[in-house]
Formats: sequence, structure tokens, C-alpha cells
Amino acid sequence: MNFNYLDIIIIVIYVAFIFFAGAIVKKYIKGIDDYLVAGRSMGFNLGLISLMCTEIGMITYVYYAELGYKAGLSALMVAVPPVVALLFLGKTGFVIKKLMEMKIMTVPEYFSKRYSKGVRFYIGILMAVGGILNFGVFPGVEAKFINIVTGIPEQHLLYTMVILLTVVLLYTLVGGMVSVIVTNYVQYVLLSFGMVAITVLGFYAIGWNGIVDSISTVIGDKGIDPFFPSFIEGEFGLGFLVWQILMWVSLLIGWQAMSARLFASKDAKTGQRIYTWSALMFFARAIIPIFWEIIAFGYYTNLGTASGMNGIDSLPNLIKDTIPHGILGLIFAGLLAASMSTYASYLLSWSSIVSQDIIGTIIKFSTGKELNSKKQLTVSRITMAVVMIFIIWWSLFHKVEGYLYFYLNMTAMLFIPGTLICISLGVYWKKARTLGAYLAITFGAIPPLLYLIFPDEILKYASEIGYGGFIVALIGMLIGSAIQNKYNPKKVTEVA
Amino acid sequence: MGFWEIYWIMNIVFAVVSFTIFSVYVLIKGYGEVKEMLKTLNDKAE
Repeated sequence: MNFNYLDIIIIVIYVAFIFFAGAIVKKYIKGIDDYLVAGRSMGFNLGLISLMCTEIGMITYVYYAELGYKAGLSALMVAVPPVVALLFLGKTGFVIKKLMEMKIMTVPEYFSKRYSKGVRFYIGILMAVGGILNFGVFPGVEAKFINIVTGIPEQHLLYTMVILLTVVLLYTLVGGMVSVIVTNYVQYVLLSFGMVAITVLGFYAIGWNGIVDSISTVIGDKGIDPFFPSFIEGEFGLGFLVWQILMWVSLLIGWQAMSARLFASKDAKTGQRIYTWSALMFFARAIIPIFWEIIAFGYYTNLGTASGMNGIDSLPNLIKDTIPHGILGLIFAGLLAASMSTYASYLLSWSSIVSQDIIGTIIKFSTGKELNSKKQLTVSRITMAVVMIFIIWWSLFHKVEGYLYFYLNMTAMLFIPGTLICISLGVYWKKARTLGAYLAITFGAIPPLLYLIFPDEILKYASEIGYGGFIVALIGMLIGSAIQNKYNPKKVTEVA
Repeated sequence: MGFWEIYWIMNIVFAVVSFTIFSVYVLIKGYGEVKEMLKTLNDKAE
């Protein structure tokens, strides 16, 4: 073990505290609204904390670190697209204002109101598949990270992950979104402390010159200039930026784990403010972990041991090798906090899609009526347990090919292009129709599906596949709507 | 030191400093909101 007794005591106290803090709020849950969107009572600062806790996990550190390892300082360019997307949505309220005013709980609900229940069911399936495949690699990747930092033998890691996930499951199961928000607050204290501490201590261990020298020597000019050899041809050039900005706009509208924060907000104005100010936090969320990896790269290059590591190993090794005991316990608690908060939110988000938009639709279709709030709550809880069992299983047997960052992007891309096109045209274009929605969702899912099936063969075309998904989704919407408007101009059946 | 090096240093310093200051700010303000949210839910439950 790499921990001493002080480190272990800090971690045990943290996990116990989180469990009780999460479980104690059960008394506030009286219906499905309280459970899924905390009774729409979340304020601005709490919303910001909760959103950041959801979107910063150990997995975030790992995939950004992997990019930093492969692309050097140039990888820092990935921090720009989320900032552009958040400022755009926060300032203009594009689409999100309408969604918040509709008082929906999940994104697919919009599809039944604007298109049809069939479209809601279809996008719900794609969202659940994409979201759960995305979520499904978290435990495996994070187990490796924990293994290196703690020194827990690999054969015991499965038990470690199961215990961790069970704690998260238990408090999320009983307290839903209220538990998630309350525990997020405590978790953010440790998470933010850990992020700043690793940066300062790591930088102190190597210095700026050591970083630049090692990148220049090993990666060359393209490790410092993101547009090398040109803005058009560069790995982080025009194509990459267009794809990433489109993807981030779509994620912020259609990624349930993020948009749930909007739906839980007090009002539309609060939701927009949360997105605007999140831009600052999302910038740091990308810059800081990539910078850690660049520090690790320089540190191990100077020691002459970098060749024995890969992009995923060197960051946990840096934490283990440069952080003193006591602070290591606090930082590890911060890492656990980051992960547990992400697990809690993702479990709640994806299971809410399965229970509300898939199971709920099937039940309504077969019985002709909706479940009452209490039964919806029970279905949500059962679904959550099933989702957790699935991701543990998937994590054990699935190996990610290619960049982890691109795998995660592409699983989201299975439904993201269709979601953006259907919602934005649904809001701003009266002629958008159900057939167009079906085609947009289907066409948009094909390019990322190709990437997931043949990652090695088409890795170098990731950017083209990325923005191509949006183009074909738009074409699908235009063709489908045009056909339906021509042969069936009435919209009577599409109103929920 | 070239353009990109200076640009990245500015980005990193800005990210770390703004993240630290903003985190402290939202945690201080957020504490009151946790209490307010629980009070609202409690009133609703009663």
C-alpha cells in the first residue's frame, strides 16, 4: 500500500460522511419531481457546484491526461470549444430557455411534445445505449488509476469498485437528485482542493523549463503549436474546432447529466446564468488535468522512465510519487469525491431516461395510462440498480480501442447530432416533422457507429466523422420533413 | 519564448487562479443555498 494510517483514516471518514449526508435527505423525497429534479429548487451557486461535480470525475482527469501525453501543450486547445458553447447558450438561451419553460424532466420528453411518442421512445433508446456505453468504461479505467495511486493489488480492485459504487448507489437510490446535490457540495470542497494542490505540488517538482524542454524534444513543434502544420491541416485545427463546438452545444442541450441541472434550476434565468458562469469552470476542467499530464511527461522524461509508461499511467504515478502523506489522503479523497459525484449523477440521469422514456412509454402504450408518481419512483430505483450492475459487467469485459477521449465523444455522438437537430429545428422551424426527426436521429448515429466498430481504421478521420454526423442529421431532417409536409401536411397526430 | 508558449502559460495561470477564486466564492454562497433548498423541500413535504 502507498498510504499510511493518516491517509486511510481521512479516506474512511470522507466515505462514511458522504454516505450519511446522502442518505439523511431521504425524508425530503415525496414524489418523482423531488427525486429527479430536486423539486426544481436549486439555486445558482449550488447548480454550478453540482454541474462541475458531475462533469469532473477521475475519468475526466484520465482522458484529458491521455490527450496531454500524446499531444503536449497543443492538447490545451480542447478547453476552448466548451467555453464557446457555454457562453453562447448561457447568453442567448438558444433552445435551453424553451426547454426549461416547458418544465420537462428528461430531454426525450421534448420529443413527445413536439414530434411523437414513437420519436421519444427511439431517442430514449439511443440515449440510454450511448450514455450507458459511455458510463460503462468509467469503473475499469478508474480502477487502474486507483490501483497505481493506492497500491491496492489489481485482483482486489473489482471489490474496491463494487464497494465504492454500492455506497454511491445506496445514497442516490434513496435520496435521488437531492442526495446528489447535497453530497456534491461536500465533494466539491475536496475536489477543488485536490485540483489546486496537485497542480501546485506537481509544478513545484519540475518547473516550466523542464516541461517545455521535454515536449520540444519528444513531440516536436506540434506539441506546442496546435495548428501545426497549418490551421486547416493541424490536429487541433479548423475541423476539430467545428466538430467540438457543435458537439458541446449539443451536449449542453441533450446530455441528460448536464441538462438535468437546467431542469432542476429554480427558473430559466438561473439555468442560463449557471451555463454562462460554468464556462470559466469548464475551461479549468480541461486545462488543469492536461497540464498535470504535461508535468508528469516532463517529470518522467527527466528521470528517464517515461518510455515505460503510457498516457493513462503517468498521471497516477505522478500523484503517488510527488504528493506527501496526509495530503495524499486528502487528495485521494478529492479524487474519490470527483468520481462518486459523477457516478451518482450519471446513475440518476441514465436510469431516468430508461425509466421515464423507455419503460414509461412501453407501460403507457400497453396499458393506456401513466404510472403514478410513487410507482415511477420505484421503477426509477430498480432501473438504477440494474444500470449499476450492467456498467460493472461492461467495465470488466470491454476494452477501449484508440483514444479514450474519442471513444467517449463517439458514444455520445450516437444520439447527440440527432438531438441537436431535432430540438433546435423543432423549436425554431415550424415545418420540422416526425419523419424528419426519425431520419435525423438515424442518419446522425451512423458515422459515430462506424467509428465505434472500426476505431483503428478511421481514427484519423475523427473530426470529419464528428462534424459529418451533424451534417447528415440535418440532411435527414430536411428530407424527412419535406416528404411528410408534401404527402401529409396535417400535424394533428404530432401534438402530445 | 515563442507566441504559443506565452499563450499557454497565460491560459494555465488564468485557469488555476480563476478556478481557485471562483470555487471559494461558490462554496461560500452555495452553503446558504443548500439550507434554503432543504427548507423549501421540507415546507413542501409538510
